[in-house]
Amino acid sequence: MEFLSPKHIADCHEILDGSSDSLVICAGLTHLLRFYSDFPYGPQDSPEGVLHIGDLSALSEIKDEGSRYGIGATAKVCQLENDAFVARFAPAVWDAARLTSTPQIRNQRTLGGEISWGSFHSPLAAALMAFDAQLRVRRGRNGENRAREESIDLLDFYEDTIERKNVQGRQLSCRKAKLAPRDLILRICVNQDLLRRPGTFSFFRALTPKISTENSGVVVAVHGVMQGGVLVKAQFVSSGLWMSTLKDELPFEGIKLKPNIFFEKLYHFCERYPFESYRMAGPSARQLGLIVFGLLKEGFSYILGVEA
Amino acid sequence: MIVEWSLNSRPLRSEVSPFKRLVDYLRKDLKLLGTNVGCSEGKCGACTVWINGSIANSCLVLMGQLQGKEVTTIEGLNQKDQFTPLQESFLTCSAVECGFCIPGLLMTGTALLNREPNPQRLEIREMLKGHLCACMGYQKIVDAIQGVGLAPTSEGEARVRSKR
Repeated sequence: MEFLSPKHIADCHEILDGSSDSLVICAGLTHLLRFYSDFPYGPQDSPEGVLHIGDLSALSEIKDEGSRYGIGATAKVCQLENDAFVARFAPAVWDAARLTSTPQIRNQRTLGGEISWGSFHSPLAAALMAFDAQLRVRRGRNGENRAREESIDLLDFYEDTIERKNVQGRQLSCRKAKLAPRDLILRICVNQDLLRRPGTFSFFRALTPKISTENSGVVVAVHGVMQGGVLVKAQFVSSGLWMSTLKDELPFEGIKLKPNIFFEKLYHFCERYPFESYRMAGPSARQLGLIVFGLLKEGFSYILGVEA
Repeated sequence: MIVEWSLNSRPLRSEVSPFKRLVDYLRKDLKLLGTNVGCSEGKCGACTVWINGSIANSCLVLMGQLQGKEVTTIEGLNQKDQFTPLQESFLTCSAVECGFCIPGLLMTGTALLNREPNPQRLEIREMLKGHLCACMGYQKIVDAIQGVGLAPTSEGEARVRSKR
């Protein structure tokens, strides 16, 4: 079995175009080696080979692309953590990067890998969804059709769930990414208008302090705009193993951000929200609502400068 | 596969399966036993090494990924016959209990001190998130890492430190 580690993107495309469906694509390998102890067996029964894209510098850049801010698929999570632009204009993404796993793993794990693995409680996926992030994906050749690039909303990138089982029989439920064999995530883009608009705020909160595969929880990311102490717009994404991924607007447009008024509205919103349709396991819909309320309250308290 | 990499500042050309994990190659083939194996899942941090100067779990790295990379293990941290300031501080603070997690902690602690010579306690705790100490000696480990950056408390301590 071959281990292919191209240094140039053109070589990578060539390998993908000439490979069969069983080629395993990997980069940081932190998910794959953690879950499949007999890797490269596990994700595929008898893989043709392993394509390691972690050393492709063309896919690891984080850069300003004019109207968009592009993060390469093989950018490491620690790169986001150390990126001054992300820290200033997308605090939710920065916080999510800091809360992803451990420092050792953040130095190895790539953003593309984190997204394609599809953990429900992935902090980075939730934070990027709150910013309406889009993925640029290279769809591999399919029969007579040649390879092509396309953009897809991160929220639409998942369909259904996938059950992964390792050699010890440990099961893990994840979101199933819309990736066919030979498909490659190239970069993740966020619209600059959303980042740089005056009054923009964002925050990220996790239900459990040390989220991991075995210690799942619910994560919430909020992105919005406030002007003159009034909320202009806010949307939240909450996601976790207990629930599917939920993205919605907070219906508080025009509400003054005075703690008492705001928190009361927020409480009623969460209590009346139909969480039942999003609940998969774990707590009841009402409890889930309270969890999400608690996380939102904590995040907004931080923005308003009051005690949670 | 032939992997050309550098281990503890020495260039190496290893003929090895690309699917072999770095920690297995270090321990079984090179007999570098300082890097310990705990959970093999990247949780305990006992196998922490530096790859291109950044800490990484060697149980989650394949040899095939190391082409052109520079790896430092606990054996390469101090190639002189004397302790590093952090090793000395671990002894001073009695931070070593069974010692199993210590090589990994030293790698992480040194990486932190190289980046931030005077780290705050919270920063140290954040950095140690990827380590498990079965003896629960975290308090003293944090003391030891913080102690390296603190100014000496007496003239005697300053003299001892200046002789290192």
